[in-house]
Amino acid sequence: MMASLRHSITNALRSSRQACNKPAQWQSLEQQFGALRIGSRSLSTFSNTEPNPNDDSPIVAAPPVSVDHFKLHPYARAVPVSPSYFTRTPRFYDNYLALEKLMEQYEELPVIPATAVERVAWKTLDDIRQELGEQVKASEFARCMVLVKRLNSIHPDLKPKQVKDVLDGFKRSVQPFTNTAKPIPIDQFGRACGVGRRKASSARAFVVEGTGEVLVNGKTLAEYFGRVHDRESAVWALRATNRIDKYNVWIKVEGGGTTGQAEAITLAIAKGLLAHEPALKPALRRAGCITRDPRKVERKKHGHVKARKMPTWVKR
Amino acid sequence: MPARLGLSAAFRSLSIRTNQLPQQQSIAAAAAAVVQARTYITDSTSSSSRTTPPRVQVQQQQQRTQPYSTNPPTESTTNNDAGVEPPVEVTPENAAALAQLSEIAYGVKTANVSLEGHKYGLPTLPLPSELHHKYRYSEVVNHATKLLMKDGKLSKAQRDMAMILNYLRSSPPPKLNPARPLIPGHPPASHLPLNPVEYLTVAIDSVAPLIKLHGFKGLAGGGRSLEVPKPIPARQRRSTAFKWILDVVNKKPSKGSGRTMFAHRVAEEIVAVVEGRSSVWDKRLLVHKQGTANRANLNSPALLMRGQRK
Amino acid sequence: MSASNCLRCLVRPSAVTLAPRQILQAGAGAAGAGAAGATRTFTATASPNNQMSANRPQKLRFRKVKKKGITPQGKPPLPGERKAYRKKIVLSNNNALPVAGLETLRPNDLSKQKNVGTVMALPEDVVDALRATEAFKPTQCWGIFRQPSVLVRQETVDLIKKMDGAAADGKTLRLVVEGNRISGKSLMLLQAMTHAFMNDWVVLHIPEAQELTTACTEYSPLENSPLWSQPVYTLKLLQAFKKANEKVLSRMNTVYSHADLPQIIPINSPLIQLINSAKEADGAWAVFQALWRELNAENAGRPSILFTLDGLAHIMKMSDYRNPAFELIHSHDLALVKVFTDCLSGAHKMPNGGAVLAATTRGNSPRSASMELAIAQREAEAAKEEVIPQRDPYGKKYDDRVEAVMKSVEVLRLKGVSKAEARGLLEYWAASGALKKRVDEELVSEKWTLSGNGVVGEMERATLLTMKG
Repeated sequence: MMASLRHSITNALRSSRQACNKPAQWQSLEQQFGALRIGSRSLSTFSNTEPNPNDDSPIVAAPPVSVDHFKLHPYARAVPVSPSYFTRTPRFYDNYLALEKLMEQYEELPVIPATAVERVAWKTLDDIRQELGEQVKASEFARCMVLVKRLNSIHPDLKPKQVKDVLDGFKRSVQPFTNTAKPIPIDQFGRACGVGRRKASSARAFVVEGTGEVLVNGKTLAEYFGRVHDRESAVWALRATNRIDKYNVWIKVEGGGTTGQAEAITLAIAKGLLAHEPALKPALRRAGCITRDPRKVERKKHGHVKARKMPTWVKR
Repeated sequence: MPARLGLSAAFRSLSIRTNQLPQQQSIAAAAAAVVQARTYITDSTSSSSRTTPPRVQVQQQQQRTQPYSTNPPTESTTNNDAGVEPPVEVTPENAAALAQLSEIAYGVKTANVSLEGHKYGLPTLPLPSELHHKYRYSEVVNHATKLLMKDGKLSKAQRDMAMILNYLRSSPPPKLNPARPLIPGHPPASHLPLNPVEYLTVAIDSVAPLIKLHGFKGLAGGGRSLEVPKPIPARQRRSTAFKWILDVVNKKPSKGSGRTMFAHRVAEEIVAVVEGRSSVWDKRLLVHKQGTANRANLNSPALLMRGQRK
Repeated sequence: MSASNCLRCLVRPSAVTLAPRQILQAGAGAAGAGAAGATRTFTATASPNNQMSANRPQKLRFRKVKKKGITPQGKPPLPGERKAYRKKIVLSNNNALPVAGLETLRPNDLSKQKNVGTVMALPEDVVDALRATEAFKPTQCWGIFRQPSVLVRQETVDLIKKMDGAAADGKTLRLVVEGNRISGKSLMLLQAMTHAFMNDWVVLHIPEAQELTTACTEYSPLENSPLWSQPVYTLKLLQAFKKANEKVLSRMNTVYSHADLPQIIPINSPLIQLINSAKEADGAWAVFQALWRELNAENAGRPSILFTLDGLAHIMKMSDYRNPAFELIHSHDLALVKVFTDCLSGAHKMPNGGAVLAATTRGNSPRSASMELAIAQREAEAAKEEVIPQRDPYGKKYDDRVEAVMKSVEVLRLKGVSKAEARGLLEYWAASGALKKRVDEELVSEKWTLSGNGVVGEMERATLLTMKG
């Protein structure tokens, strides 16, 4: 919409330039045009979807003017292409105005509750700044996002295409929320294999219905873990749900130290257990068993002895 | 092994369906026309139309009296004393639930996992905090263990803490000193050894100082610092108290040798605290006295000025 | 600096420091006899500091790091006091709740199948006897409960039945108790001893085999024999033996005359008197030999003997003692150890029947390749397996004497307890107030799993020695 408006205005201006007789006025007008043309790439708004011949290079000669479309304006005054031309962040404001207009237009449409709205990864403030090349204010961006989210909560069946198109411009190109976890199958022997990681360890637990026997790398729990705390950690998922005597677990674990291995097993068993009994998820969540602990060793930095430690100060 | 019966699950699946009937008749039927149009749009994201099939009522009473009966319909009619006899139709869902019940009664089949999502019943939520693997130990014990720790060796500190608790468990009941009253509401002395965690908690909380002195540098004039008493939160109180105890412990020579000695010295000091013999009490008294003496500093003009500048 | 050796007499200066102070002082003044050369070098190195210090440039002085630590208060502990505190064994805790319905063991209880899975208290006189033989260890959790009690396991009943059977036939049960860490090996010996004490056997127990072979007790060669005696340890063993078996010994009299003892013991004098005659370490070995001969007297109405040893691997290797040629002495050349190994191998037959039990240990135990191989072989033979483990052809650490000793022993391998036994144990702990939870199926199986399928000691660690209180 904006793009077409801009086109018509520039066309009109160009045509007026052709027709103009007064050299004095012409001079000043040309200056203005120059300012407009140079600034147009960064200042005027146009949607990226529409291919623009001027897009690739910063300054391109004007296309040949067809005399057929020549029409004389009543007065030749340089009108900015965008209403937000004189603001600090014109392209952002153009987007904002478009959203406001849509909001006015479709305010009446029913919305679905916030919990039912499909999760979307919106562009962040940094993304928008990068994309538009403008120093967008955080507060204004926040207001913009309120509108975006409100528009997004319109019932999906009734959402107009226009709204969808505009909203797509605010979505990140990669949508992590569309990823769905692969369900863990239970094989012909009744085993479910869960994988868990923690620190540098990774564990695979094969959970099968049984009588409470646990083997870690071929050893019993007591042989493998010297510390009772670690043994408890390893079977915590079964313990918290009172299922220790209902399953047998066969575990392969590698990497890292004892604590890391024990807690990797926690996660692995919890996942395997969930494959058998999906309804246990809330309980296991509250037992802290299905949260991957993302903490890892911080990398060493140059100029430091370790991640943060600085070399001792030496005089001279 | 307990029998693997999803009895409760089967009951639930049955009762959920039966309970819907009165709602449907009274409220739902009246409001259906009004609500339906809105809910159709707002409630469901999927645009599938909800057709509610007619449900069948099987009396609650029948479940209570004859949960394992093989032929429920005949029994239920005799027991039922309700004036309005609803028509007993058997929908496929209810039939499935009934069949499941009878199968469970015979011990033939376990709960249906695809239907219920679990096999052996669900734990009641919210889980108690000791079932979260990060909070498995009592708060005080965990805190004290972290303070015992040296060089990041948590497992050693945990072993020490276990030995401390075992020492407290086997030590004779403490003789309380009335001059050093313990925290109000503490259990009687004879109960303390039976519950070592409580023993430790009482000891730490009793000697914990209520305040600390905050020194503002140079505010007292002449380069002296202005000591201002400040109340401290519970966790900090415990930290201070246990650090005091550890200070005393580290200065004491041990009686024997071996790895139990550090733990035993700590435990002895805890017993001494509860019995009022420990020098930690003097430290606490000193801090409290200083705090009382310096309470006028709270209104010191220098301090107030400082506050204004900020 | 001076050379590390004195150039005249080749005595190291460090050796001089061992000489008494007077000699050093004499050496500094006038030349003394003997080690005078060495002492002179010593003083020569020591004295110049004082004379030449004026000429030397001043040394850089680093501030001495003040050692932070405990300033000793009061008198330092006496020698052995700290160890005694460490080894102190507490057998009762008055805070623990008395367990209602806890039965005290009677003479035949340990061999009854119906008692499997129950916890039973040790009778008081047996506790005293066991304490005298040092059957209790400081690492065991006796101090948590009101009264020393033991769990009757299936293995216990099996072992006791075997012991009874052997004693009834006048044979000797020769058995090695083997198992993982803290799986109850020492406690199995304790139960066997309990049974023996209750049934008026004579019990001889060596609580720590390592005390015999790690060269921490004195030794001396025996005349006319390649063996070595350990007089101090023998004396200690005799006294413990007397204290533990006083009741049985008081009924017995000597049947042989012993002329070569420090004190002449005529025939038909009480056996206690024979033991009492060992007052000094010097005569202890002779008394022990005489006692051993008396106990094994045939047709004298002697009771069965239980001879037990804890820490078998320590006596299945070269000992740390050395002979005059500075070669290591084999453990089996120690006289006391030889008495045990003879019994274990069956070379010495006990005419009155009895049992020889040895338990291996996993903590601080040396590797003995031959012993491990022999145990594996005996197990394979007992299980009638087709492939019997053989020596590693490239292995060099095998010992023929060890394998000869363990040629025909039985092996009892301890594993975890069953869930029923675990439940009995947990119920006892809960009743004593040490475990504050309801003992149900879930708790039992939880502890059973956490302890590596019911290893008793691990169950104790997971339940009693935790921070949960």
